Amino acid sequence: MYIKELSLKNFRNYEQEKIHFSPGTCLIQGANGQGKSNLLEAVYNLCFARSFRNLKESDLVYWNKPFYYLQGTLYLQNRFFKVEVGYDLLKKRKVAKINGRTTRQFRLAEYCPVVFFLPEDLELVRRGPEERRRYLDREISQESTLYADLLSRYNRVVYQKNQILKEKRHNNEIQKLIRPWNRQIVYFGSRIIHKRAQVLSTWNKLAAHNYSVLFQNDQEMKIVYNNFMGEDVLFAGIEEIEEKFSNEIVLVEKEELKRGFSLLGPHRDDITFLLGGRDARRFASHGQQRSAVIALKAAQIQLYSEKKEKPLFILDDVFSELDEWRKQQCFLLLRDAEQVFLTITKKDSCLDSFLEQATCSSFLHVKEGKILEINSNGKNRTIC
Amino acid sequence: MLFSPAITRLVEAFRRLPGIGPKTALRLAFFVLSMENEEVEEMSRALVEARRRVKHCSRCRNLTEQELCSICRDSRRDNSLLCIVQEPRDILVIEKSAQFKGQYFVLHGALSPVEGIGPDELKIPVLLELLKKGEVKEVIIATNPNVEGDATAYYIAGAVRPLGIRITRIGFGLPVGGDLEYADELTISRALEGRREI
Repeated sequence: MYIKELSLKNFRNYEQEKIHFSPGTCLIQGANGQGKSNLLEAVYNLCFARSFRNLKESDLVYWNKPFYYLQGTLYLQNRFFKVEVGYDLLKKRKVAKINGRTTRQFRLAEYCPVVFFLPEDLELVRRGPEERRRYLDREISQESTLYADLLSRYNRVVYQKNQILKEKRHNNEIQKLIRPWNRQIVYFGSRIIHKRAQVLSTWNKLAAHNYSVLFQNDQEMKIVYNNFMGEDVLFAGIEEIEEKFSNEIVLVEKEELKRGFSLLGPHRDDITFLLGGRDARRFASHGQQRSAVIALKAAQIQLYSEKKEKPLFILDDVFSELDEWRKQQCFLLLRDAEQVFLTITKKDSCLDSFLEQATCSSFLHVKEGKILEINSNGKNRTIC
Repeated sequence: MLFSPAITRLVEAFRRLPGIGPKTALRLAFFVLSMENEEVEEMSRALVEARRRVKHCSRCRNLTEQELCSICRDSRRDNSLLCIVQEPRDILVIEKSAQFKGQYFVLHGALSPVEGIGPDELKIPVLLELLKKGEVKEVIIATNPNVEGDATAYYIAGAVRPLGIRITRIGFGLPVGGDLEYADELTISRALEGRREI
């Protein structure tokens, strides 16, 4: 998949811009606050009709303007789609159109293979369980609306149940009140756990391979899914998970009442990155932790290529965080994507050497919401 | 203040209605001010009288001006079937289909701990008293298919089961005439779980 054309009107700090792209790498350079990430935001919005940084629609509109409007052409599954996304600030209405037809559910999103890499992703291994869970949910929800739906219902049920646990402690009727919610926690939760286990096992196979190839490291990398069933979950069907879950959730009832919140379920899951059998969070160096994340990203790109088609790869200012060697390894990933959007604050020698060998398709310079295209189609004057 | 206190008060009153935002409230207020005196008085009487006269049916909690609602008074209806709905408007929908000949019970909501709605607020004890009289042989639960509606259904099922009454839930699934392609995935997976032999 790639984006052929994008025009922005009143979007973030862009008043009006139109850009043509081709498959390959698109390098976006500019100082901080000039609009590099906003351009990525526009690309993402075109594919998913929402913001990747979870910004409110009203925050996407250019200062003091009544609306924003994005229009673009995507090449997906061997054909072109004209996509329009807009938001009217006064009517508070969002409109998304595919090939000129208004769609209520933006179904294109499920088909768009997009992998994005944000600076905070680099810290995935060392951050808290909540961030890792959010990462997992974000990635799975992107390609499965069913998962996103299950997750939002699940979270609603946990929220309702926690209210009961918080309020009415030590009451005889409390089990009767909790069980209707537990039943749904088990229903939605089992499906969430099952999907997470499936996705993690596909990630695992490829990520382990990538880690050893990219970083010439003989330590084996493994991602372990921590849930109430442990490793058994990998071989279990939904019914089996449901059965175990409904048995175990009864056992924690007393403890839940004492502590005042839900103790069992996918909202407490985590993933552990193992390097050579040891928890990378505690035993690996900062650099190794980042290598593990790069290996995971590579796996996600490969998976899209296997299952759907070569994806779009968006990297927001990741390179400034990496050392030379990891940068080099990261560049290798770019070749596996159909199109890459890459933001940088300034060029460096390492990037130059990459661009020399790459099919550098375009180089954009962003300044105060204006885009200057410096060159296109191949290696010539300015940078390549 | 842009408008006189009376206008502001009227706008604020309209804004309390569901689905009415500030702009619509303003439009309605200006419209009222352009109406004839008698018309406005009739409208305000309608509001006050409806609110004063209409109450909950003492048996099923449907809206009525009498002790019992018209459905509860109808001797041709089957008293052994009881359909539990969330809102009075759900009765209208089911009645329109003319498929159901039993009685109803209106909960006026669904369990929602975060909004402070528990079994007592839904008058589930009243429902249980009604069922204990022994006339009802089957309870059909028709709460909404969302997490609160489902929790309510499970709660009622748990409370009714000891009475030995048959409990059913209306089927979920694909809208008739709907295209399989356009149904969301959760609807389809639920419809599959609730499949029947034909």
